[in-house]
Amino acid sequence: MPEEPVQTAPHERWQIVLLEDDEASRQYFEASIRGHPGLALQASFNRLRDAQAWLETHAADLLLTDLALPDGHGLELIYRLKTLQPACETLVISVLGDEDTVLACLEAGAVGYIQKDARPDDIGQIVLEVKQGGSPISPMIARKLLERLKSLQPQLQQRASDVPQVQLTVRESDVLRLVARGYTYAEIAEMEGITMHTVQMHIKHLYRKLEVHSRGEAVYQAGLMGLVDPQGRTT
Amino acid sequence: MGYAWPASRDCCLRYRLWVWLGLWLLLPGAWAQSAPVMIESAQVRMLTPDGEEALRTESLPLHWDLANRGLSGVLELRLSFARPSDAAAGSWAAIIPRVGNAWRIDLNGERLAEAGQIDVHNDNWAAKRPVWVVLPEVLLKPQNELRIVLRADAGRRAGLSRVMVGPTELMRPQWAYQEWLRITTPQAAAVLSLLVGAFCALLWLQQRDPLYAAAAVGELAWGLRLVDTWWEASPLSWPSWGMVVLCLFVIWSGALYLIIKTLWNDGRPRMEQQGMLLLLVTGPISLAISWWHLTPVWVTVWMLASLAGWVLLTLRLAWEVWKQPDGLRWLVVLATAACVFALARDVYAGRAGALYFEESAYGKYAAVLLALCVLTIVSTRFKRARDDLVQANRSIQARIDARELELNLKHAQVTAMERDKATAEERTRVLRDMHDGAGAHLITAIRQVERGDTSRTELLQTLQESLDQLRLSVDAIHLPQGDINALLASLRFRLERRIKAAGLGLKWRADELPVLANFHATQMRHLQFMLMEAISNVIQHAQANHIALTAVAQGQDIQIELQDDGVGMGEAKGNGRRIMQERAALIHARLSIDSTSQGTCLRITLPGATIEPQA
Repeated sequence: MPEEPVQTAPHERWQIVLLEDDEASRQYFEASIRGHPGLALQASFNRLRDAQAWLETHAADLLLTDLALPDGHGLELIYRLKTLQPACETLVISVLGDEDTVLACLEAGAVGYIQKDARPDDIGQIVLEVKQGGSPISPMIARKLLERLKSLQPQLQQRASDVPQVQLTVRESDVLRLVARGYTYAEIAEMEGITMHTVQMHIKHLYRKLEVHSRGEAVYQAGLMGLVDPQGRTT
Repeated sequence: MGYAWPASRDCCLRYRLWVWLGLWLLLPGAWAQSAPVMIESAQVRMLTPDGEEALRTESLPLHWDLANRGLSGVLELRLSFARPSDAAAGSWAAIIPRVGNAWRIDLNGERLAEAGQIDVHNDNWAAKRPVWVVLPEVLLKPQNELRIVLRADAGRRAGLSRVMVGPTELMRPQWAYQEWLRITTPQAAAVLSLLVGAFCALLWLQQRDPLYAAAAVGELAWGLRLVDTWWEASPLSWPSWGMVVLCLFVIWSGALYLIIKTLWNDGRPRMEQQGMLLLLVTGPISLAISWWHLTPVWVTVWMLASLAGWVLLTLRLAWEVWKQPDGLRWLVVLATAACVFALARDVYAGRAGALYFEESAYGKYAAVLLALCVLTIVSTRFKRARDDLVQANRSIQARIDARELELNLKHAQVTAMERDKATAEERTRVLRDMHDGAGAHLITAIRQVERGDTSRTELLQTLQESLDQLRLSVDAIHLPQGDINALLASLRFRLERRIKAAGLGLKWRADELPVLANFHATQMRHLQFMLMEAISNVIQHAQANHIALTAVAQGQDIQIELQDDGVGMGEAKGNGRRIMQERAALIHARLSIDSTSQGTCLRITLPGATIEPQA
């Protein structure tokens, strides 16, 4: 049952759409968003179809979505949203934040994830960071990203020229390596002598590079990892 | 019009007619020339040491061996012919299809040609070829006498055929025909037989198939036999050479029977085989008796007997093949029938019928059919061998395919078993993980709730730790083997929030560390537990303000140091310390804990190369 769309949020607040089938969790997240001064809950759903139908006609700033939903997998919506509303970003709600799931979401177009047990303050903080250009990333994901982008490089030289080349700059790969070794953005900024914002921009660029080359593969990849069965239903 | 050889076949007659007609029309004034003359009688007398007999007139051809059985002698024959006074200028020629055994020819008293030795009986001159004698113009008169002296040996075909004389130009086509019929064709037939024989001999050398041996022997014997029909000077004198030729014939017929026997899969009746053997053995014997008694009767009887035997055999074979058709057998039966017919005709012509000498024996051509038959059999066998080979290849391929399929299945089974084993091991590890990690913390939480004396913060702490353990377990599944950097980074990522919440400042230094070979998931998880335990201790008990984690490479080893500025561990944490030491021992790591009231320094040293895989 979808909640009534909330349309009264002030314009300077980020408009958030929530998709979460677990009642308790949804209420928790709704409360967290409502309680944050920088965020506004635009709409809240417990079914994927309803959220998708709504997003087809309404613009939002950010989608906060669970993955395993009764009528589909969150990946489908993330993937669809990148064409529906390129400006709308996606954060995934995850219990474990395991790297296969997160990487699949990143490839589909998400910018990161929020742990299901995150505190209300943390939720607001992450969303704001994302909307200000930040990109949360775990060291495990950074390592995977590094591996993946590197594996994409040689392949691309043989591919058709209409696919942009993945080229990791020296700085980008340095940043990724440091993240993979456990350093925070602030520590990296200090070590590399750049601002934290620049570090975040690097990460964001890396996301885009991965996403561009994973678009067509995202659902396929997800299927491979057993997240979505061949009929597209949630497993 | 000229003469044609009266006994020739129709086609030869027609051929010669056309030739004559062509010459008639082409040569200017040819009509005025004299046509060739066939001399069909001669004045004959014996020349004996005692003196000369009176001349008597006899018609040609003269078959000495038929007219004078068992006798040898020297004959003089006088043949007369006229050269019309209006004949055109130029030499004449005589064609003598058969003269022998040795001979010499005079024209009007002048010697023209001779061959063999008149006074030596049984010399090696065989007189097989037709003779062409040029009659020089200067010797020719209106009435001419051709005097032929010939030596005839007992038991050997001897005598004189009819003689044709005429202008050389008109005689040439006749000569060409005789040469073709009596020399060229037998040569070709001989060459064919010898080639087929040599081919079969090679096949036999390679494959040792009795059929090829029989065919080789038969065809080689027959080829040599044919050589004799145009070879004038035999290698041996008479009658030795005659015996050789007869033996060749016997060998050929024996080989033919062997071929038949092989084709019938060695299934010929015993009586038939014995009869055939008898015929073969009696051949040379009959010839020897013939010579002993100087009469060809015995040889002739033997020939008739073997002919009869072959006729019976052929009929019987034909009947069998008729009942049980078989392509190759049919071919052989037909060829054998042709040979038997031709040989019968030759025997009749040579011994009984006293036909004209200028004809050729049929047998040598009929036997060509047999050679072709052998070739057909050989090619059929080749095809069958090839088909068998192809079939064998197919079955081998099928067997290989089946084996490959079997191997693939086995491989799949083994792979599946290995996969199941790996899955089972992984499951065991994860379950133990759950038990030691999240599970243990959950149980602690339950106990805390049950006891009722635990604060809400402590309970929350336990639950939080349980969730952290769960997440670390999940991370451990993905950690690359031996990648300590990844392990430390995930640990920081999972625990950072709690460290921060505890008001601790974290100082992090993780150098690029070498990947430890043989440091498997289990070892990784032990290390994870040790560090988790240590950090939890600091958070919960050390009352520290700062915590510093340093991971550096020392040669091949890795040293991880956790330093805090708290109050030290004290004695209360003995149990946790013991478990940590046990874990360190399991992964062959050195663990030192240096705890004072100013803080604790926990140091784990992971040896690089010497770590053994541990269950």
